[in-house]
Parts: sequence; C-alpha cells; structure tokens
Amino acid sequence: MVKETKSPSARPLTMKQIAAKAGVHQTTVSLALRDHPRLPLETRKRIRALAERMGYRPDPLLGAFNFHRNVHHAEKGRAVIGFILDAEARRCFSQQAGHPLVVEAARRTAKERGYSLELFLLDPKVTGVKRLGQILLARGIEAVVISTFEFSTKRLELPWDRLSAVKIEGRHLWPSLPVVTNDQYQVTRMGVQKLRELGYRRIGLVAAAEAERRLGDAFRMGLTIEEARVATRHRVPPLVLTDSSRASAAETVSRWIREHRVEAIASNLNEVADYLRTGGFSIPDDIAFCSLDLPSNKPHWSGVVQNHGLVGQRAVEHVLSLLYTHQRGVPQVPSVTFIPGYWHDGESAPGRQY
Amino acid sequence: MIVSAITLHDVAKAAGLHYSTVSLALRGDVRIASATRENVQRIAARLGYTAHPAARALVERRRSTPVRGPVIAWIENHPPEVAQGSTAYRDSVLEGATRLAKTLGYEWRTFRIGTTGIAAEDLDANLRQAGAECVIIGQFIPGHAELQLDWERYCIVRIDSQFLSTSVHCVSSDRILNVRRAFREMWSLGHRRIGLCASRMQEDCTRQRHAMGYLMEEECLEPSERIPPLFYPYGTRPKELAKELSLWIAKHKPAVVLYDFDSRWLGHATPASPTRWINLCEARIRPGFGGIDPMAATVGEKAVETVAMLLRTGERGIPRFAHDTYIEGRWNYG
Repeated sequence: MVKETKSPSARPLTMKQIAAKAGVHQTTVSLALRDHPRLPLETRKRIRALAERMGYRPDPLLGAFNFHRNVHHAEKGRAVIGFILDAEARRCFSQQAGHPLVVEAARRTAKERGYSLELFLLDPKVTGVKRLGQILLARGIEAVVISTFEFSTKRLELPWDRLSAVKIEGRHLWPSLPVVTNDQYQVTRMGVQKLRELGYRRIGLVAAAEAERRLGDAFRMGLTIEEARVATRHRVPPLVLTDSSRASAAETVSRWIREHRVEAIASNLNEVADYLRTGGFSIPDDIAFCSLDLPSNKPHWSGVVQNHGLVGQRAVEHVLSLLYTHQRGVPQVPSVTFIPGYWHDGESAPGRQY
Repeated sequence: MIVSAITLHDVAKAAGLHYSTVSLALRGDVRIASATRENVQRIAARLGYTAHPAARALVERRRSTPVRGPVIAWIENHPPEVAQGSTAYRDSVLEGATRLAKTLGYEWRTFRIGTTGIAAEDLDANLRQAGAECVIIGQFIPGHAELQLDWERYCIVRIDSQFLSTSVHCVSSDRILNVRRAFREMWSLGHRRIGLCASRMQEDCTRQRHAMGYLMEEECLEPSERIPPLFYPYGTRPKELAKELSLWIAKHKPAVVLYDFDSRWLGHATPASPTRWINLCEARIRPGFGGIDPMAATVGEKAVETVAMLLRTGERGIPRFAHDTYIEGRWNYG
C-alpha cells in the first residue's frame, strides 16, 4: 500500500533539493533519475538511493502535461524514432520491406507525438548490423521499432542497453523485446465463428508453414479451439502450405477440398482465391472464402480486416512509453501485445441454408 | 486519441477578447458580464475547445493540499477466496502493481464491489470522491457484481476478466506459451500421456488460452494418444475436484497432469496416479515438481504501465480496439 503524504502542508520535493544534498548539479540529478547511460552507473545508483531516502517521487500529471505540451508545440528537427526494416522480409509484403500500412501509421503517430520516424533498411549487402548500430548511436537515436523480420534471422545485435526498443511480430528474433503484433488467434477465431454463424459446417483453414512458425502456430490454434466441440469426423484438417509446395498449390488445394468436402475456406493467404479459380471452383457458389487478412482492394470479399495501422501506432506509442519511463534494453520478462482485427461482410461467404 | 489543439488564445482571437477574459469566462467567473460569458462559452463550444485533462488535473491538484499523485483505483468484484485456485497469484499481481505505482508517483486505492463491498452503483461516486484518474479491473470473475462506470472519465485496463462484454485493454499471463512450455518440458523428459486439468471459470476469464495451447500440442499426437482435458465447473470445492480428478484419471490414465489450481488442494487428490503434477500458475517451487511461474508481479507492473501510458496520452474510456498484453511465464525445474 502506498502511504499517505506525511503532512498536509507537504510540497513536492524538487530535484534542486536533492542536488544540494548530493553536492551535484541539478542536471546530474535529472539524468540519474532517468537512469541515463551518460552518467556512471555508480553515480546513478548513489543519487537514486538518496532521492528514495529523501522521499522523492516523480509527478505523473506533470508528465502527462509535458506530453501534451510536446505534442502541440513540437519544434522542427525533434528527436527521431528509428524504424528498422529487414531487407529479407520483402517476400512477406509484396516486395516491400515492411507492411505499408504499419509504416504509414507509425510515421503518423510519431509525428503526432512530436517525433519523426526514420526508416533504416538492414541489408547485409549494403548496411550490416554493426554499422547500423554505429549509425543509431552517432545520430543520437534513443528509440527504435524493429519491423517484421524473416524467420531465418534469429538474432539482432544492436547496442540494446542504449536503446528503448519494441518489435513488431518477430517473437522468434533475439532479443526478447516487447512485441506488438496482430492478434492472429483472435482473427482466426473470429473468421471461423462467423463462418459457423453463416451456416457453414466443414470449415477448412489454409496456412503457410513459414508464417505459422513465425507467429507461433496462431492460425491453427485459433481453428483448433473453435472446433474443439465439433465431433472429429466433422472437422477438416488444416492445410499447411510450404514455400516449396507453392508451385503446385492450386492442385493441392483442390485435392484437399474434394477429399474433405470443404464448404468454406478461411485463410490469410489471399492467393488461395486464385488457386480456387485455377482449380475450377467458383466463389461462393462452389465454395465460400473468408480472408483472414482482408486487403482494402477486395471490399467485395468477406473476412477479417487486420488492424495493421493500429499495430504501427501502438508500437510507436509503446516505444515512447519506454522512452518516457527511461526503460532501455531487454526487459527481464518478455511480453507481447496483440491488436485485434474486425469482421467485414462481403459476397465471398454469403451464408448458406440447410 | 489526440486532444483538440484549440487553445484559449484561439478562442480569445475568435471572440475579440483578451485570453485572460476568456479564461475567466470559461470558468464562469462573476467578474465577467453574463452576456460575455455566454458568448465566450458558445464560441469555445463551436471551436471545440476543451481543457486538456492532464492540465486540468494538474491545476486542480496544485490548488488542493496535501499534494497527492493521481489515483489508480484497483477494483475487485469478489472476495479473494472465491477466485478458484491460488490467491497467491492475485497477491503477487497486487504487489507488483502497487510497487510500480508508487515508483511512478501514483496513489493507490482498492475497492471491492458486490455483496462484500460497496454497491456496484455507488462505485462511480466513490471513485470520483477518491479523485481516481485510472482504473484497474483486477481479475473480475463471472456471476458477481457488474461494473457500472462513467467510462469516459477514466484510463482503464483489466487483468484477465476477458469475459466482460465491455472491451478495454487487458493484461494477462501468457497461458498459451506457458502450457506449451510445460508440455514440451515434460515431453522432452520422456513423459507421455500428458493431461490438462483446468478451471472452466479461469478459462472463461482468459479466452480458453490454456486449452488452446494444450490442444495445439496434442495435434502432433495420434488421436488414440490424446487425452481430453478436464475442465472442472464453477465453484468446484477441493473434495469435489478430487472426485472428478480420480474418475478422469481412472478413465484416461495420464502420467502427467498439468493443472491450474492451488497446489495445496492436491492433498485431497488421489496420490498414487498419475506420477507427476505440474502447476501452471504458481511461483512456489515444490521439491520434486516442475512448474510455471506466471510472473504475476510483472503482470501487475504491466497493468500500471499501461494505465500510466493511457493517462499520459489522454486516452480515456472504452477504446475502439482493445489490445491484450501477455506476460511470458518462467519454467521452474523442480
């Protein structure tokens, strides 16, 4: 329990008072309380202990007010948030290194908060990770957002103890920084639930092996929990496509549909719609299709819209929150924040009557 | 949410008055003629002027003595012992939360609503009186008092409580990862026939996340090797649970049981079989038993961190899209 302030006339203790007692300048106290790496660790510890003894407490309302002031009186050339992109991830986002909606929203949010967002492309052929670390430090960048990294990259060695950082997706990637990601569990559960409500029985899931590995089997898990109460003989085993099987994917999908008498497909792979066409299936007459990552250029489809923009926004807000509370480096306990998607009614899954 | 960027100066310009006149007029000061006051208020409303909540709170507080930090209200809707399983989890969450709240300069207040606390409809008045800016919904459970709040007033986060229809940001322990971790640890030690025994109520509070992780691990097994999880009903008492468990064990013969209730309840369960009991949410390490430490104190800290972030950015009320933050547990070798 937090104790009540001692006497009714108590005024808040100031940094000046602490500085006088410690025999240092006020700015040293300010840096120490922010645990800033510019001061030697010993000095930081000593001053923080003194502040604690004297009963110093920061003022959250002042923090909120300063935040508000920064937003509305941002000067040009303010601090930069680094947004680190993986050149290898181009495969995931139709030849762009990051999801355009994520990047756009991250940029807008940074700007609204009085920061500017700068993209750094990590491409071993051009800028290696070591060089990137040097650039970040030389530029005085203190906050970074790590974009989606390919599953093949396992480690990212940047000067973490000098940075406040969060990752987008990338739970596979060392270090275990706080993660912000789309809630693929919720997205899949919502898709399957909606298809059920629309009257479909034999619901099939098509997933990509690479994405499942990267996202911790989220799509299959969402399906499994939604079908837990369905008798085994009414369930359709999910179809997991690997990169190497993509060439013959249309054929594989057709075979799987016939074998398991699939009535409706849920998938985050929008190319499944093309496979269906190639296989001679007409949507929705022969089979219903529910996209689990509905793109804005297919408004006539049914499916779940993933909040990519909100992922970018929350990632920036999160890293700023770390920055304001002076949390740098890798936290002791990893955490992940999931952003939900929402349903969009369309013609590709109009519902069926029995 | 970005608060309107219209300032007193903008209103003053539109009204053709000095900003100090506008300031007094908006506060209803009698030194300003009533016609002017009304005119200024009309213009301010038209322009969409609002005092920033942080600035307003700051001014309010500076005026009053003693000087206090903003208040975080922790709300429960049931006596701690009703939350099946371990009260240790709740206590650790609270400990982590209060500690960080203090470090960040917040005041802490605890409220319980329902039959053992204040009436649910009186909560809002109590929160106002306490000057609460932030609310943490602390592990509500279904079937008890419902929340009645003037939501827009507060920065809100919930711990678990995912059955609530009012969707606010949530912090919870990462039960999917935890149960998968425990399953894999036992599997790699050579154990087979690994079962899950979980509280239906806790599953409802956490969107079936123990079940999700467990069923995913079972997917890799032959159907004949799978063990259907045992979900014990709401309000199950230790003796009743022991009975259910022994029936389930007799039928499915698990060699390992992953479970979520207080390990002290094990005294009531059949000791002979299965050979291994693995707790999924208890910090305590018992000799000879592995288990998951849910890092409950970090869950509490994360909840405080989240409301602090909301207060800083001025995000109050029910968000359009509530996000969920999960804290990874730690495997303890027994």
